[in-house]
Amino acid sequence: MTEHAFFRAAAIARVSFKAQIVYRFDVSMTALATITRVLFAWILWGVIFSTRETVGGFTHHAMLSYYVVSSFLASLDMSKGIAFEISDRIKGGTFSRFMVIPSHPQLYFTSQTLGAAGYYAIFAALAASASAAMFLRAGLPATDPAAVVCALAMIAMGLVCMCEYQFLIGILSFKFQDVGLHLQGNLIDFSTGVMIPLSLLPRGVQTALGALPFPYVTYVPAMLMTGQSSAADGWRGLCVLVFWTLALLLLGRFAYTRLRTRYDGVGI
Amino acid sequence: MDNIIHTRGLTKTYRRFEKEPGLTGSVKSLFHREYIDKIAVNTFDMDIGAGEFVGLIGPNGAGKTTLVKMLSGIIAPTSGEISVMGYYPNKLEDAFKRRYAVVMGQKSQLFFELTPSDTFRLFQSLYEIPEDSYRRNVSYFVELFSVGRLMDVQVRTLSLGERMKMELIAALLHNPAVLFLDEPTIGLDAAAQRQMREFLKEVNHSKGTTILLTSHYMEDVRSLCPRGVVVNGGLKLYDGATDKLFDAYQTHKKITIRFSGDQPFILPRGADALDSEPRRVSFMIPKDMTADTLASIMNASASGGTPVEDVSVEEEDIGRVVERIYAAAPKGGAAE
Repeated sequence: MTEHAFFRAAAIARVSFKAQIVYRFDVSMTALATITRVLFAWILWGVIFSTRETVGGFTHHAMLSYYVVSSFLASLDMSKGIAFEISDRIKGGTFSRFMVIPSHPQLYFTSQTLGAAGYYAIFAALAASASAAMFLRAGLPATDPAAVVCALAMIAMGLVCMCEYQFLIGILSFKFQDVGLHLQGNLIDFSTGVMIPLSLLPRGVQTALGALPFPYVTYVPAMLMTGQSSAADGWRGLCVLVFWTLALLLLGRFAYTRLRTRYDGVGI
Repeated sequence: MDNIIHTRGLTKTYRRFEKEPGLTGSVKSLFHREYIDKIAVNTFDMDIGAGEFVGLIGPNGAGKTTLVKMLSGIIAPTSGEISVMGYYPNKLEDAFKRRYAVVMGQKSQLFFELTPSDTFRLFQSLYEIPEDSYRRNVSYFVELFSVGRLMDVQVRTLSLGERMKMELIAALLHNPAVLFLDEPTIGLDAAAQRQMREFLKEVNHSKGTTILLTSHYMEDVRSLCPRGVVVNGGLKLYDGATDKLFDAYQTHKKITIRFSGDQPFILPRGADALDSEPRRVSFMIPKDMTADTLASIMNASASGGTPVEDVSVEEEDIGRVVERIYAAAPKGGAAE
């Protein structure tokens, strides 16, 4: 990224951050969602753990720790909005807004989403702290500092990676009009480990998912932050994530360049 | 004068999916789709020099917006040559995008959640406008439009007229060499339209900005654009002086009279009725008969005829003018 592109990205993120301030209700609902996700996990896993000590290697406390951290991370990922907005604007004919400004739409949407995530992160962190205080009397498990560093790098890269993925999906609307956004939303929730920890899945499914970027967005960082994975596993995962981020970045650029010529701008 | 915009044989064909009506048609379309081609712009030749203010006139669906979309790079032409400031627009190079601006009357570039000042700051970063130039431009435009008190309120709370002013300021902050305006006065009240026209005239004169304006409103084109280009069905029908265009083809005026009584009204000779109600009548009359006709109606009213309560005289609408030009244009060519 050139120096100018970096400043443009920072300016877009800043404006997007500011724009979120208006949406007080939305922000509070997102914060509430973080708490309710942990609450449901507490109820559900409370029943399961009442008859056993561990499930898939998790103790009750480790499982709730996982949900606290993964719920926080899940609320940072606001990339779904990219695909929805691009798709809507292409269908409605207003995507031209992003074509005429001197900034690549990919950079624009990524920066916009990260700016918004920055704002939501403040409230999600408060909500996660409240959840931890309510459901984790013993606090978060101690973990290796190297694993935390790796997790932080993975979280940052994961957010960028998801933005690039959703940009690519949105851009496909130039060709397909409807890109099955609801379906892919559920698949992502599942494969990022937001629904259940991926270590509970069969080994073959875990291996297959491991080749995709999604587990490294929420699941692996949450495992690292709660001391249930080692830094060595994390670094390997980070390499996979970097590969996917670069690949999606290039694919998104390629798709935009190829497909935007189909745009009719109907409606303007 | 150097040409800043150049097109030769420019054509845009849209491919549209056509579905048979009803559920059966919808089901059939899952397996087999019929497409139809619609030529929106047809072998269009145009050259515009630096600093010109050109009006693109035509009814709905004439191809005006498609032309603007091609010139601003939003859509790719199907065939033909196109060049704006030496760039092929649809390559969408950043260097090109920093040198033009486009304002669509119905679409916004502003962030509705933010204030205009915040949005302008974003545009400063996107267009890499130096701080001193940014401050100078903001202060110039804010004063010109008298919108200083609106700079720190949310865009969503602005009226349409106020928002359009802000759209224009946002578009002009980076001193674009070319400004494309698509129906910038649509939906504005008469006062706001007049103010918008003054503003555009000033920008064209003081900054030397080349402006291509599309509008339904004859008054926009008549008062702003020394040169008019008439388009219909994607074809250029006329390209020349706007004054001559209106003198030659806007041959009628629309007169609307409201009466205070129910007495019958007999249309003047040469008039063409448009609308008639018990106390109101609208008709077209040749321009050169307007004064005499009005005088005779007012005289009749004063001498005990049908009592007139109100009279309005309007320019003929753009559709009729275009029909007339279309009828007069040589096949396949433009009238000059």
